[in-house]
This record gives sequence, structure tokens and C-alpha cells, in this order.
Amino acid sequence: MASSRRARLRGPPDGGWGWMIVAGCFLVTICTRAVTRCISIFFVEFQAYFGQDYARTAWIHSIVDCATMLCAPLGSLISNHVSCQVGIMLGGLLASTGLILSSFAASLEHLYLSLGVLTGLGFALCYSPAIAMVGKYFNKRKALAYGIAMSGSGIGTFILAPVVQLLIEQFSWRGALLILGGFVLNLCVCGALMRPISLKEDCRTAPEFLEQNYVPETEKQDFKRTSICPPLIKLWPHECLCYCSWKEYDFLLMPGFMVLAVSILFMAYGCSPLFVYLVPYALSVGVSHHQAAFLMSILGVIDIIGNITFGWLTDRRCLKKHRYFCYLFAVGMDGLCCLFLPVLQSFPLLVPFSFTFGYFDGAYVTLIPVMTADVVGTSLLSSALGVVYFLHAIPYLVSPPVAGWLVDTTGSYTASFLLCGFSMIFSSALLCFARLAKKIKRTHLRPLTGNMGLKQHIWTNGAIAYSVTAELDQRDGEFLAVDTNSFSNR
Amino acid sequence: MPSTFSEWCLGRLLLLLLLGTSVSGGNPADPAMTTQDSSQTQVNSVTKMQPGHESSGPHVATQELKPASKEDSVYEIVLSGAPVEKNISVASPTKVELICKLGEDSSLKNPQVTWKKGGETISHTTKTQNSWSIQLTISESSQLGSYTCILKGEKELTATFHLHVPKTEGREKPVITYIGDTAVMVCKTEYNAKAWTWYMTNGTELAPINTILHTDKFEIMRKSAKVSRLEIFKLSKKDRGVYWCEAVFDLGSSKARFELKVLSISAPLKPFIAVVAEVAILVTTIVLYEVYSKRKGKVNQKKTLLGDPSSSRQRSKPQKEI
Repeated sequence: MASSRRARLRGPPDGGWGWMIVAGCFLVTICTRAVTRCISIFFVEFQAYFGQDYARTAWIHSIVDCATMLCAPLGSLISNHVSCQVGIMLGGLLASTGLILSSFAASLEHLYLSLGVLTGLGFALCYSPAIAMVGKYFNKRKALAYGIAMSGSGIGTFILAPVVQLLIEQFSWRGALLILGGFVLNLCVCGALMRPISLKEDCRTAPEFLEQNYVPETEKQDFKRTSICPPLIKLWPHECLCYCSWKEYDFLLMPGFMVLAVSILFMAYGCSPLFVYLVPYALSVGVSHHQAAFLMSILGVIDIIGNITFGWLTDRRCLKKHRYFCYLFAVGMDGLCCLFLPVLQSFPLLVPFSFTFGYFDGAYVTLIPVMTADVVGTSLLSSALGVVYFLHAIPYLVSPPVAGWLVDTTGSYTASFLLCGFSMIFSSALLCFARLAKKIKRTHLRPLTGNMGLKQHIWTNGAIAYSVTAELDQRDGEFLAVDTNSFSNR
Repeated sequence: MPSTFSEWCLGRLLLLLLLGTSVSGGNPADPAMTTQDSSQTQVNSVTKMQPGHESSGPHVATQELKPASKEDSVYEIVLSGAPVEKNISVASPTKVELICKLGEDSSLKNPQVTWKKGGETISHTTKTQNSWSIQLTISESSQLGSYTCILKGEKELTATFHLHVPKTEGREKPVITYIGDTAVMVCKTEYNAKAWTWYMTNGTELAPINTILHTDKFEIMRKSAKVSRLEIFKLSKKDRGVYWCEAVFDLGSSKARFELKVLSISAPLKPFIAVVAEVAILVTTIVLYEVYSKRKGKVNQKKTLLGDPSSSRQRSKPQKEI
């Protein structure tokens, strides 16, 4: 029935059940990110129990992080084709099983598999679908919602770290892992909360789509990128499925997404060694252990503040249009801080560095999903986020060893910090140039396309009048014309 | 994503801090760490050796005495107001110089300086402009102890050097293990120990562990000269108690304490089951709520479609908008 269909086709609620989704995503971030961090607390115990050195024990953490990020596209694939709820619940069960199995570990290799691969895979199935879901429920307050959801990692660590330490003291690492496995099962609760929502721009056939009255400017991209692939539950012929899964990753060839992907590669390359080498650098310039730990604590706390405040700020009407520039400003500022770091040689100078770097780090982390949503649209956000987090994995694996090698060969931290700073500034400059190029291209095309630049198409389908106002470049205009022709021929 | 990396590194930092706290876990005031003087008569041969030579025991090429200055075995305390104490670990026979220096901001001028060990005064003291020192050759355990320099003037300032055998670090918090599991106790010290012995408390006495337990039950591994590792297999409730590890040095030995607790598997299982129950309850509640709200929504839809025929016909007709 048309009315029931229309009732389902609505815009993002920007509230209501959306806040439950934010709470669910907050809990997902705690259960995945904060737990990953707290696994490091077990390392002292593992080292003592298994008699291995730190390097072999630290592999567990690398494997968890690697599995979480490399399998992120798999997570979005499952949540797209089956259901977000099932995906997250499955992820929760996997992660919980991994932790419970590792409490019975007899060797470090057993831990690599259970705690590393299984738990990491479980986390990967949860993380990007949950974040994508937040994007679907919010439009006006998207950045704030993301800020609150992402702050879970910082807040979760603050709460979980002492709790895990207490659990280890009371129950030894075996008992602590068992209880942590139970805690991670809360991911299933988050999965149950993720009520699916079908938005205007979601997959529908052409006639249904044209029943809509107005396509807002922010969703004009989705008009171009409508995937016509419904969930697997509905029976579709095999060819259509193949076509669908390929069409789902159509955004990979979008120039906007490719630019974003490259910039994220450089940004992840630049920011990751800093967290590894800040403390050793601080110790090398004469800061005490406690002060170095304090620097990292400042970084953590300000990260949370940056998450939420920057999210709130970029939701303000004045800054909303300039979200892209806010993002590249945050990345650029972080790069600049990195460039200044070799000059800061004492604790009173490193504190403002921690503040600034932590704030802008939290800031751009909040904006990554928002930017991705702006580029690919909400319907493909899940897959795109999977790819974005996958792209984080490779620089994270490569960058700290390279920086370490630089430190060893040059004998000081200057070279590696300069490399990080330039990498991040390059990332932000790339985005800036891409936007400028797009603007120049548009101003060039407008006199060429003439009338086609600003179109007002009105079709009538029986009694439906449908108008689309969009700023399209010539290629898209043709696409639109072809579509309307095909429709009118029916 | 950057926050995951920051978490990794924060995790590493947490690890570093924990390592730091565990290493500094050896409480100097712990009465468990005693120095035994008498049992070291078998190392008399060492007393004739010149310091700096390698002893017949473990390889001591890395003599880390951690002196205050870059020269060997020179320890200095700068006095200003409150009495200062310093702990010095001496593992094998060596020459030590202890210096008491007057701080620049001190008001004391030309004080009367005495060096004391226990009750007796030491005579061979050297004096430079505003520092006073003594040179000691530590070759026996009886020469270890507390050396105090007393500066008498308008005020009296004291500084004490505690010379002792290196301390061993155990674990103050109890070692928690489970029935059937393996217990691992790792004993560390900063200097190379000649030998390690493990004891178990038998009533009120300490008995070496090989006299109490069967050889299948435990294994002592000496990872390096500074680390000793005791593993006890197939734990049962009887194995709980206090264990001691003793590191033997040229000049004495020091002990560290471990408390072993053996729990049954039900101990962590209770919180685990509590959390699982909470998850099950929450999931059921949410699913039921969703089903209920869906049903309610369907009923409402049916009502709006069937209840008012005229309005439904209007709604099904497409809107005309220009």
C-alpha cells in the first residue's frame, strides 16, 4: 500500500530511537576499543606465566588490531546482506567465545588464535556496522551523535583499566579473561538495539523512488548511488546477487572516495607512531615516568573532550556546510603539532602539545564517519566505513616500525616526527586541493552546460508531479535525462 | 583508526607502568627480606680477591652498582636540612667511597664531622673543601650495614648510607591460581646471583622445596643469573601457602616472599554467570519490546486503513504538486 510505504520512507529521525542507537554504539565502542586496549594490561601476566619476552606477547595486541581492521569490510558485508542486528550479535558471540577460550590457554600460540584472531574478528563484525547505523539515524545532529558514540573508547578505557586490573588481582588472568568474555557479550544487547531503518534513499525500485516529493541536497548523492540490492532474506536470482555485491562497492571508483581513501592512508600513517613514541621521546628529553604517563592521560582525556565538543561544534548550522574544512583543519593542526614536537624538550612544553594533539585527534576521529557519509551517502555508509577502517590497518602495521627504524638510524626522534607531521599535512592538503579542483571544475562546466547546470525537471506520472533541483555536472545531467526517458517510456 | 592506535599505545604505557610498579614492588621495609651473614662462610675464598676481578661465581662483568657519579663505587649525599638515607646494593666484594657533601644553601660553616657505623667511629676520613668521605673495602658480610656521617655545627645534619645485599623482588599480592592449573612464581634481582633456593613454609619453618614436594610436581628454572622461576604443576588446595625464594650472593643472601592461593573454578564463574544472565535478560526485554511495538504499529496501521474509508481513499490517491 502506498501509504504504508510512504510511512516507512522518511528522513533520519535525528532523535527518538536514534539516541538508543547512539547508546548502543557507545557500548559497542567500549566493548571493542576499550577492551582491546585493556588486553595490554594482561601482558605482564602472560609474560610471567608463559616465560616469553615482551615482543612475543605484544603480538597478541597486533593480531587483535589487525584482525579488527582487516575484517572490517567483512563486517559491513554481513550487516548489509543479512541484517545489522544479526551481524553485531554474531560478532559479540564470536568475541565472547574468543575471550572465554583464551581463559583456558595453555600456550602463547593458543592465545594468538583465540584472543587474537577470534576476538579480533568478532570485534570487526560489530564495529563498522554500529557506526554506520548511527549515521542512518541522524542527519542534523550527526557529528554530535558520532562524538558521543566515539567517546566510548576513551571513557571505556578509564573505567575498564582499573576494573581489569582488579579482576586480575582477584581472579588471576584466567578468571579475568572469563569475566571479560561475559562483559563482551553485551555486544549482543547492542545488536538487539539496532533497529533497522529504511530511509528515503534506501534501495527501492524506480517508480517507488520517484514517488518521493523532494530530494534534499544532502542526499542528492544517494540519488546517484541507489543500490537496488535488497537484503538476502528476499529471494533474488543469482545473477542479480553478483551484480548487487559489485554495485555495493561502486563507491570505490568514486573520485571523492578515492581522494578520501588516499588522505586517510596518509593520515593514519602520520598519527600512529606518535602514540607509540611520545612516551619514549618524553623520557629521552628528561621527563620522568610519572610525568610521561600523565602526558598520555592528558591525551586520553582531551581526546574524549575533543570527540564530543568538536562533534557538537560541527553540527552548528554555521559550521555544518564547512565540515569538510573542519576535518582537514583538524588533521592539519595535528600534523603541525607533530612538526613542532622535536623542538619541545621539556615537560611544561609537552603539556600544551598533549592538549592540542589530543583535542584535534579526538576531533577528526569523530568526523571520519561523517565525512564518509557525506561522500558516499547513507545507504552505502556501512560498506564504505568497512573499507575506511580497513585502510587504517596497513599504515598502522607499517608506520611504527618505519619510525622506529628511523629513530635507530638517525639516533633521534626528529626525523620520524617530521615524517609524521608532513604525512598528516599532506593528507589535509590533498583534501584541500581536491575540493578546490572540484570547485574549479564546476565553475568551468557551468557556462558549458548552460541550462543543464540548474535543472528543474518536472515529470508527471498520472497525478504525481515530481521536481528535482540538483546541482549536477554534465555527466550526471545525462544520467538524469536517460533515466527520465526510460521511465516515461514505460 | 587513530583512537585504536592510541589505545594500543596507551595499553603499552599501562604495561610499562605496571612493569614499573611490579619491579618496584620490593618494599624496602619488607621484613621478609633479611640478610643472612652466617651462611656464607663457603664464599670466604672470594674475600681474598681484589674487587673488580670476576668472581668464581656467576659472571659479574656487568657490575651495576649504580653509583652517584660516573666513577666506580662512589656514592654521594648532599646535605641540606632533613636527614637523608640512601640504599646501596653490594653484591660482591668491592671498594666503596661514601661522600657527605655540604649543600650550597646550608648555613653550616666548618662543622665537626664524624663517621659512624653502628656505635663505633671510623677514623680514616678524608676531607676536601666541603665534603667528607670514607673509603671502605667491603669483603665480608659483616662490613655491610649502615654508615652515618654526622655534621655538627649550629645544627646537626646526618646522612646514612645503608649497604646491603641486593634485594630480591617477589610479589606482594597473592598469586592466584586454580585447581589443576600450574603456578608460576618468578623471582628477580638486579644483580647476578650465585645460586637460588626455593623454600616452602612448613608450619613455622622454612624447608627447601625439594624436600617437601616430589620432583614431578615442580620445576625450578634459572632463566638467567638474575631471574629464577618456580613452576608447580597440578595444583590442589594443599599447595596453598607461603613460598620463599632466596638469592645467594657473595656477601649474603636475600629472600622474597610469595603467597599462593588456589581457587576453584567456581570463583570467577559466579560473576561470569551474573553478567551472562544480565545480557540474556536485556536482550529478551529488547526483543519483546520490539515485537510488541511492531505489533502495535501494525494494529494502528490496520485501524487507520479500515477505520476511516474516505480518508484512506484520499491518502491512496497520489498528491498533486506543482
